[in-house]
Amino acid sequence: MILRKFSENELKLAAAQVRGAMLSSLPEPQDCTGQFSDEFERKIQNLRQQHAKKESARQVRSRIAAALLVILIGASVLMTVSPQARANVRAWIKKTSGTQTEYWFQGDKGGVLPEYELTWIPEGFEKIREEPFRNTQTWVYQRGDDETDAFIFTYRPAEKDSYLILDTLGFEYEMEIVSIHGNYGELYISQDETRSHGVIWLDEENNVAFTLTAFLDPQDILHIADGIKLVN
Amino acid sequence: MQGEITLLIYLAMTDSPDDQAKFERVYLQYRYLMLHVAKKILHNHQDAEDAVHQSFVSIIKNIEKISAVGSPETRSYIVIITERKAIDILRRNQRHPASALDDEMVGLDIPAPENHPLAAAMAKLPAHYRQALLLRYDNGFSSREIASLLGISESGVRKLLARGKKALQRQLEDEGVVI
Repeated sequence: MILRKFSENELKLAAAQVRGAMLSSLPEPQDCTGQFSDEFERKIQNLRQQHAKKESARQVRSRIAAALLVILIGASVLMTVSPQARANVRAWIKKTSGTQTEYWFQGDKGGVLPEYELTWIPEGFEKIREEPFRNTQTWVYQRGDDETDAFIFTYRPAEKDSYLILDTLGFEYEMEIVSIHGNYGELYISQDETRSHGVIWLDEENNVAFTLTAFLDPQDILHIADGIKLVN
Repeated sequence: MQGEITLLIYLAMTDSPDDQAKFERVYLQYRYLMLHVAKKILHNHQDAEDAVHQSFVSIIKNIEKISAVGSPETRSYIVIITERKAIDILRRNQRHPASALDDEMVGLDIPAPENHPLAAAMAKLPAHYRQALLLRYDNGFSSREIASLLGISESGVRKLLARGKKALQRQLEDEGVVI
């Protein structure tokens, strides 16, 4: 008996159907909940560090230094904040686990995101890219052609139930509390010269959360932050 | 925690895609789904965590293969890797090697797509055949890439694909299905 051969196209179509059926039989990722042990989180952290070091070595070899401090901006979520979480400021609640710190905003929902401008930036920098994405503004500034001589500025509404995650990926940072236009902020100073610094602060009056990350001197970073002004 | 990552910010520019940030997105978006899949197979939280961890080891090694983190193809790929790692742990945990796991019984129970006999047959295949066929024909990975993802040899992948297709042929023949 000669068994029928299937064409590539037939197999592709069938595989796509099976994929659909498989995924439909499972819950949506955002509907899944769970709890991982500390041991698991440590293993994942080790994995990140090993990979980051490999990537760092690879990229230094290819002349560009890799990112260190990763800030993830989250949209609306449903979560019960841990009772252990401590509030550093009125309008956010922080929760630290491993190398990640979650900033849960407490501001009012709705409203239009104000427009800002940077009135001071270090000499030689210019804005090379704006990446508005949903309700977050991201501006990338670069000096010359060197992609590592850059800084990234973001701002977004600090609405209740939205969050931002800051992850040091296990590299060493010192955190300093700073004041930017009288607003509470946290400056993360990298202890590794191949890793950038970052600052996060909240304008409670306008309900806006800011981040600034750069390979610049921390004082220059704060100078940029101080120069951020509302447009009209 | 439920949530959605809407934007990733990198603190330094590189001339290659930021794989660390991509991994973080994958981790945050899929970790609980992966735990769910692993628990369905292993019925043990500790073992399920091991499966999820090993899946992330495979994922991070092959992170460049993920383009759109939220796409159905990526979700499928992650589910397949997790299923595979969970089954590997199940086999490793067997107390009595003589009573081998029934290949047809382990793995996710996938409902047969309707009005598509070939897909229905594929859904009913033993997990290792189905996984290889999906990675090849849905995700478009080469045999070498599938070998890296599943942690097996390239020749092992080619055998899985060949035997999987033969199993499909026989299944349809046995059922008297004409395509």
